[in-house]
Amino acid sequence: MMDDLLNIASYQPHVTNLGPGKRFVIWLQGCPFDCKNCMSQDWIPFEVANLIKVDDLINEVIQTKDIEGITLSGGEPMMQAAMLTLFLSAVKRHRPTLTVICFTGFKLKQLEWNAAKQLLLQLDVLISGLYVDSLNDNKGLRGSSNQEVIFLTDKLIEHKKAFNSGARQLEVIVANRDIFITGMPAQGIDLKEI
Amino acid sequence: MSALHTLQATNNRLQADMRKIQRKVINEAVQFRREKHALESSLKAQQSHNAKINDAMKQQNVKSKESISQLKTSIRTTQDNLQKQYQKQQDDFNERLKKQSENFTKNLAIQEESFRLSLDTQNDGLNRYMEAEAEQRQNMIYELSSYTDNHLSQMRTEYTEIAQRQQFQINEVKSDIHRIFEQQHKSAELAIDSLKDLEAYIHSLLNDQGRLVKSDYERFKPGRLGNITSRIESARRMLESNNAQAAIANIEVIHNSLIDLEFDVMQEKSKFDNEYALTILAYEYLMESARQNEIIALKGDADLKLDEWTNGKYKVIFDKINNIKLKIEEGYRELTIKDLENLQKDKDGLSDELKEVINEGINRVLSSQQRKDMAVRIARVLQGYHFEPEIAGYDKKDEKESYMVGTARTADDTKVTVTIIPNETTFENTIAINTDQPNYLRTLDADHRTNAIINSLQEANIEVSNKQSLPAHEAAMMNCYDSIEGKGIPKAVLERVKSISR
Repeated sequence: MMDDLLNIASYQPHVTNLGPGKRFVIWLQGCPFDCKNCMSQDWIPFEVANLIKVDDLINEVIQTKDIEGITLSGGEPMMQAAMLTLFLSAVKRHRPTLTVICFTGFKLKQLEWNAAKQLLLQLDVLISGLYVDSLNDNKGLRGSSNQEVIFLTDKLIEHKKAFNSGARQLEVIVANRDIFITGMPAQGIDLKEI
Repeated sequence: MSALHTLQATNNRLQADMRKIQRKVINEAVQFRREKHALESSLKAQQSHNAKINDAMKQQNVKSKESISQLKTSIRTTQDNLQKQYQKQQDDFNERLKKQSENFTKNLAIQEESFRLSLDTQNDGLNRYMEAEAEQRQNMIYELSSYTDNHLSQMRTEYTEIAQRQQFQINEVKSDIHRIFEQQHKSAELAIDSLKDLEAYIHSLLNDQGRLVKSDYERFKPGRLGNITSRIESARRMLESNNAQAAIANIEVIHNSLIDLEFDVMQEKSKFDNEYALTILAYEYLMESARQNEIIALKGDADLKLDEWTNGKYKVIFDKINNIKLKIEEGYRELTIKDLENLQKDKDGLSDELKEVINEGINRVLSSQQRKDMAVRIARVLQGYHFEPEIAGYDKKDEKESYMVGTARTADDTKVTVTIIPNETTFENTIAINTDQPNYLRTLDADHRTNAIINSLQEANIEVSNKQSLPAHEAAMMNCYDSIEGKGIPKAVLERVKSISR
């Protein structure tokens, strides 16, 4: 019997600029879209990055203290919707107060396949739509103004303004020998240079 | 000098402060006296006020005592007055009652007198009326008597004529009765004979002397024999009450009913026997079919032992069929036609089950042989790439299990294991080629080798439906991603998703 696996680009347990409070952020590997000036070029190919057992990731999140929620980004999280549903439903059984934010290039109405529908049931906020570099207005958590912030539950509704028009912050995390830059960069910022 | 000035200045300030303090003490003393005087005045005023209140209270006490005394006197007076008023009212009432009683007595006497006079007048009128009425009634009696005499005379004449006619008819009836009595005597004899015949017939039925036994009646047409035979008692009673004709009719009906019943039971029994024979036969055929397939001859000298190749399923289905057949054989007396019909339906299900077991066995054998063929062919292809076979055979030495070929290439010390794995549901075989060299599947040779293997298999008419030449971890990655379908998703996205879908 094969283990349930997630192919993740990376994860960081205490990110403060991808949603309210400290959040456990998971970046999924592989994206079918081809957005110009995507900030995560390395995470677009469908290739093995880090195959992590869903059970191991569940334990990792459960044991991480002082977090208010989980943020899924990528890559394209919806490509691994079935496994993410397994992961989130198990985490919520142990930590029901955690909120979940998910970034996706799909529009809500395109999320018609069963696994995606199941994943939507686990989310509190969906930030949907492709990243369009020319519409990056440097505001809020969404990457560009065409993207839609959809509150699937009212758990994070009090932060609506921050999602749509709050000031952006970039956070630089140094882990082992890697440097992670999290958050929404302003238009024109060359992350590679940073 | 300077120090003296300073001292002088300090002294002046102290004296000024002393004066201020003295003024303040004087002011506070004046204030104290004022307050003391005010408090004393207030105390006196309060004492005076209290004295006035005491006087007023004393006066109030005196007044209260006087008021109470006056009140007591007033109550006594009121009580006396009330007593007097009550006595007066009582006297008035008695007086009025007495007057009313007297008036009533007088009126009664007057009414009695008046009634008596009226009654006398009425009596006189009534007497006169009754005399006139009696006279009139006497006249009517005379007239009625005369009419009745005439009418009776006419009726007497008519009655005489009728009586004569009836006598004639009675004589005729007597003659008929005589004839009927003669016929009845003959009918009674006939009825007795019929009853005896019927009783003998029923006796033969109840003692299994007929074409059927008593239990057949109860089994195939329950209750009907009892209903019919109980009607004999009724025929017997008719005979005892000299109603021979009715008895004969009843006996005939009973007899006919018995014949009908016998026919119905025979028909039903025949139907049952046919169904029973068919059911037994069906199960015997099924058993025979199962026996014939217990060992299936394969090409060459090989035999397929079905029970072994179906992991015991053959034995289970065989025992099931055999047990049902035994139950049918032992159940001739208890089974119903409905039971037999159900058993035949069950037999169809068992037949399908047996077919499935046979197919499973055959498919498993063919799949097993195919695994070996495939492994040999793949090993030959790999030999072309200098991978020499080291070991080969079925896992656990069980032909139902996977077939494995272990090869090695000494030149680069690479080992490649080919495993052909059966699918227990579809009996399709999956080829897994594993190696200890991660780059084995990433080199340019990989596709070439894969194509050579596929060609070799296709030469043997083995269809290869899906091929993947991926390292294990990349194959595992495929399981991470969903297969996506949906409206409005860009074609480029769907194509990309397809390329990585499982």
